[in-house]
Amino acid sequence: MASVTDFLNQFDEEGRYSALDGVLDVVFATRGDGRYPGKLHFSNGLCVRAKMEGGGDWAYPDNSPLNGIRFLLDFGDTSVHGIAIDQGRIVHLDEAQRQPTKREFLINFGIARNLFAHPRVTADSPSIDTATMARTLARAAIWLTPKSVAGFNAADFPELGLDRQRELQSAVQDFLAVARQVPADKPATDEQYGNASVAFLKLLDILGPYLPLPDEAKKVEAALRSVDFPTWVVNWDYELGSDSDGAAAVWVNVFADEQTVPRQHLGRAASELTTKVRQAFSASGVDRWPYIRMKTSFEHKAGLR
Amino acid sequence: MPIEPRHLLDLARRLVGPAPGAIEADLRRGISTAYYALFHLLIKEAMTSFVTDPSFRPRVARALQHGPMKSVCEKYNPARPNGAGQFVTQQSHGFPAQIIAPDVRQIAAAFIALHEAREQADYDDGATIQHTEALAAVQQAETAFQAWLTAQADSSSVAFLQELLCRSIIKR
Repeated sequence: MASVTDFLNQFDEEGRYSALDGVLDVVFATRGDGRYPGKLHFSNGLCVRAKMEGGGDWAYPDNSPLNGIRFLLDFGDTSVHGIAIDQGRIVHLDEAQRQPTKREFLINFGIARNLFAHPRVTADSPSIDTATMARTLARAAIWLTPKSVAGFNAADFPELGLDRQRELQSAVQDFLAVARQVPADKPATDEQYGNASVAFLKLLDILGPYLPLPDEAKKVEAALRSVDFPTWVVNWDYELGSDSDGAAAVWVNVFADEQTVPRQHLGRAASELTTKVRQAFSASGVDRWPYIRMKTSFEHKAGLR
Repeated sequence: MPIEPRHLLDLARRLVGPAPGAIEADLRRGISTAYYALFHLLIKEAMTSFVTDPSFRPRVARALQHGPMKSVCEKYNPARPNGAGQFVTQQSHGFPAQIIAPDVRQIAAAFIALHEAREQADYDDGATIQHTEALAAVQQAETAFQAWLTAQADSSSVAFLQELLCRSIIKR
């Protein structure tokens, strides 16, 4: 797919198609993420037909230039572009970019904070050595992904003051510098893990007050920490909420190791985990039904929210 | 032609596939279909067990509702065992207390999990459904189908089906 610059470079300053006659492949877009491949037809430098593949087209019976039509086109970048056709000439209107919100950033970071706090390391085991522990920590570091700070904009935090905003910006940049080097399907190296942890702790120091933990969440978290998760579970997270019937519930996100997850027995594993978590909740006085959601660490790191 | 639960389960399997690669719409439909496979299995078993006239079964089957069925499944999934280590239902709605067979508990738990997974898959546009989650849902339905084969020999499975049917009708 051509970039928007490549596309626009094919038109002169007045929006006439420089090659005069021809057809350009485009992708029509909707704000609702619909994408429809199509073509723009030009005659004597002016657009005379816009056609959607498998759909309708826009054209006048006498093949005269299109006029007063606006489309959103997708060029494969982060935004869709408004294009108007005025007397057959192409006019680039705007970038209809959707800005992520502060709330979205804090949700992403909140998940990362939980994942940072829940790695499954049996540190109290007398047999575990430091190298094994480091490997396990790195394997569990599924918070080490650019997704953890997606939507960040330092300008969303004016209440912190300029100095603290700069510290925050700097910590995000340090974190991203490492996170972008770590492939979604491989664990971080010890050095990457160490550097990212420093930046992440700095972020936690600044953003901690934005992510309060209610008392019930602390209780749920404590109960989940007591659960003996299978060895293929590298990390977990949870969300409190109401289920579809309005009953109090907890969604327990279980992140499985890509290599060792028992793909043939996920159903049974989910059932067994539900039982274990219910027992832990019962012992801790948590009256919520646990719903287990399974993902692999790769799915978390590579996937969108 | 009656709905065949096994065919729905096969369809769910095909939609999700054994390895990642299916588009999210297929994963969502796979989860939803896995739920409906179990939903219709329980309805079919209840109808065959309690409605003697086959021509009348489709009409009675329409009485069964998702919400009341889920409530019955919760009843058959008490959080704690009694002092003897047995899981027992509370006496309610005219049904006596009942020791619950482990397979019945498992089926009931799978129904609850799949019911919620289906709500998410069908209606939650904000969620991202990925392959592992969908595969787990299909396998939970498969496990429940297997469990039913052995559960039906236990008296608690009969009480379970009776409650599924009666609680839905009482609600109406």
